[in-house]
Amino acid sequence: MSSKIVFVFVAALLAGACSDGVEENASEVVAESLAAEAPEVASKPGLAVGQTTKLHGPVSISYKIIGAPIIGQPVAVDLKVVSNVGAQAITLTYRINDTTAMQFPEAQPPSVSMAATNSAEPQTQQVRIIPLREGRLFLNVSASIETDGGTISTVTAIPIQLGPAARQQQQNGTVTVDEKGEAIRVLSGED
Amino acid sequence: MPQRSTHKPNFPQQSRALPVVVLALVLGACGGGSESFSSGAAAPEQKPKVAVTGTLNYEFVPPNPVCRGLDFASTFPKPIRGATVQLIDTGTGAVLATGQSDASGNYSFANIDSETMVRLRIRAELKKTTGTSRWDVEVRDNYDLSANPPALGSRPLYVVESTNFDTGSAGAVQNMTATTGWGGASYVGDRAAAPFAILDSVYTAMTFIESVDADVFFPPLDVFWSVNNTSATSSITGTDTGELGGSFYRIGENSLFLVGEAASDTDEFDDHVVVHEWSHYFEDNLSRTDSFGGPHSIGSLLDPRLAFGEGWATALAAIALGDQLYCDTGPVGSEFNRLALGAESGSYDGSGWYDEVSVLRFIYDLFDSNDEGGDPGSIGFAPIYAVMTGPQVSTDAFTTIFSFAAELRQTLDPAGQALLDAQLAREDMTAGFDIWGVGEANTAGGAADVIPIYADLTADGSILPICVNSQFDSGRDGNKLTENRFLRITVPLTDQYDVTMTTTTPTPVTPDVDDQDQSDPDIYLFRGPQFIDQGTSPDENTETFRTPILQAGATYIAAIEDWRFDDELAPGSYPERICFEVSFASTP
Repeated sequence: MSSKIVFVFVAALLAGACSDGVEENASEVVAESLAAEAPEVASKPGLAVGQTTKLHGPVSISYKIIGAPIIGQPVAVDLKVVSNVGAQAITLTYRINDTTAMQFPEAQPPSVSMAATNSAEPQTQQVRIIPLREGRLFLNVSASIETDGGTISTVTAIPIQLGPAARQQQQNGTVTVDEKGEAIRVLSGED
Repeated sequence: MPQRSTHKPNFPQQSRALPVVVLALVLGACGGGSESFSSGAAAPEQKPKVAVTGTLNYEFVPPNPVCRGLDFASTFPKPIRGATVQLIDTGTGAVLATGQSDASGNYSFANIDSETMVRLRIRAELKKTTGTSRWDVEVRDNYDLSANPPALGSRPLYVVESTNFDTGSAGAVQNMTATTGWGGASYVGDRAAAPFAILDSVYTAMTFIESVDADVFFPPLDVFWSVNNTSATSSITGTDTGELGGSFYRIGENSLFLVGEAASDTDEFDDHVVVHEWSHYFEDNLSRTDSFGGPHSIGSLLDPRLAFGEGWATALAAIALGDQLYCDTGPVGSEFNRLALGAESGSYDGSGWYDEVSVLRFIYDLFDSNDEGGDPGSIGFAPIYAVMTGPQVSTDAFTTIFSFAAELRQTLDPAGQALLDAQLAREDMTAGFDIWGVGEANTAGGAADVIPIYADLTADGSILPICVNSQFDSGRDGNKLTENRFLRITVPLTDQYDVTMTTTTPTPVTPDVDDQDQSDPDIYLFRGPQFIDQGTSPDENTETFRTPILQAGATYIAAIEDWRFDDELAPGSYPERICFEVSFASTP
């Protein structure tokens, strides 16, 4: 049976945390493929374990974090951008939601436009950020194109791992059991 | 062996027994009113009896215009409909009464002991166990990092509880709202609204179907959501860790997984996303899907089974929700969307039978009565539903736009047929095709290996040369147009058959020993909805297997592929086009 190992993703974030800054150790993730990679499916799946996924936008973005991110030092993220709807000009817009986590260097433009190209090769861009703390931080990259029906865009949240800390578990309510012993997660309502 | 869904299966009694609800419903007859339930517990002391009533809501957060994030400033309450409501004695923990909220979120418990401290518990579940239509939906938290997590179906069910209150001497009115937990800039409290927003989207979808089929029977569905479910997969993937990579429905398992990590993507208020994924559950259970899923984007030229399934799901979401805009908001707090896709607007490359957006618009324009130019009239939803739960289930062909539209056309009057033909033409399809796509003129711009959609093969030992092609797949998705080719097989004799599939395209050996550089032919054999057999060995450049007995005169179909088109270990230099010789030979 053939193996379909999804090590690319495993390697990606680990490399981002462990590499010494040389590009060979950089992490690379095809963002638009993340949802498609069937979790827990490591071999030829046949037809019994198919998995639907959300519809993705018209632009695919893959990314490569260059080197090991260090708090307070700029880190570069290489982006490869592909239009799925033919030759189209693409505008990339960068945002950081949590300003305690990262910031942009002053020289980093908030958006960049790329002209349409007929080449099948992905277009490339580089964005720089400065991590401000450890943990898994997110850079949002929105790609927009113009179509006959107007602007259509899609965002990719790029995780950037700082340090060895695992992804922080978010809490939501408390787990207990009900009158039958079934596990329930109790959330508070407002009277 | 893969299991295929069948139409309207004779579901046994629902596997999740619901004694409490059943008891409540029985007792409810004594309490008066269809939504009023009385206590069945023997009162330890003879207190006067009172009623406890109220209204239950959850906070819904609409999207910003063009789905650019969630608009928390416009949050408004919506009723919690059809959920299980329990009245809990705070002293003993006993359930004093159980019922369901009505379509306005109201509940009522009669015959409750007065002056008793109680609290409300609202379970994120929909249980309809009486009447001609049935359903059973639960929203659970899949996230579990323990060493031995329980089965997914036993993960914690979401509930929301009120504060304690006194039933009083004359009864009590206790309203409750499941709130978002939003603090103005981030989530700061329990995200209690989320599971009920999901539940309500499913309720909307199910009651919409019920409006055209009063006898609809939905098998149990588990919906899994967590604040730790993320679309940003990192070192570990899996449902236990919440590393989902995105929201999805798992075919054949009646399990729907939704993301909820605020920093990357949340879907609980993206009702189109919820109902889209639920529509896959519908197709999987009440109709039939031959799609095997996988990644898909606007503009992708897809395997037609996948294109139909995805287009159908987006169309049903728009139809059931009464909103033509598919809205998938992005990370909470951002002004970005993941996608805003109108069923009535926009134009993208690649229209046709392999384009999910074309399928979406075709179905939606048949349904809707809005003429945005070119779609006058409407056939309504009933004929669409009838085909999806009838001929589309039993069709001899794979489930594609061809089987759906060809079967639907036969059920329509001349005006409906004209509307259907016109909508096909608008989406670059050829009116008049049959379930096999014979008559379709759209060849994806003359690309190789697109036509015929089904290659005919007689099972007499003759050899069929046929090629698969990854020309539309920029990754290793394996689900794009021409990566799978379809066979229509004529069987002359009732017999077992030896199937042989041999690669004829040279596949150069690469220096990297880890490369999977040789072809891996695979074949899946069906008779309509029935899976027959498969040849999916890892053997290089050949596939052979012996079928069970095939019936003379029956129509069989097969999908063939080269697994390397799915294989991340295939080298970048692997040929884009791979050709095979396929034969079915009667056994001696």
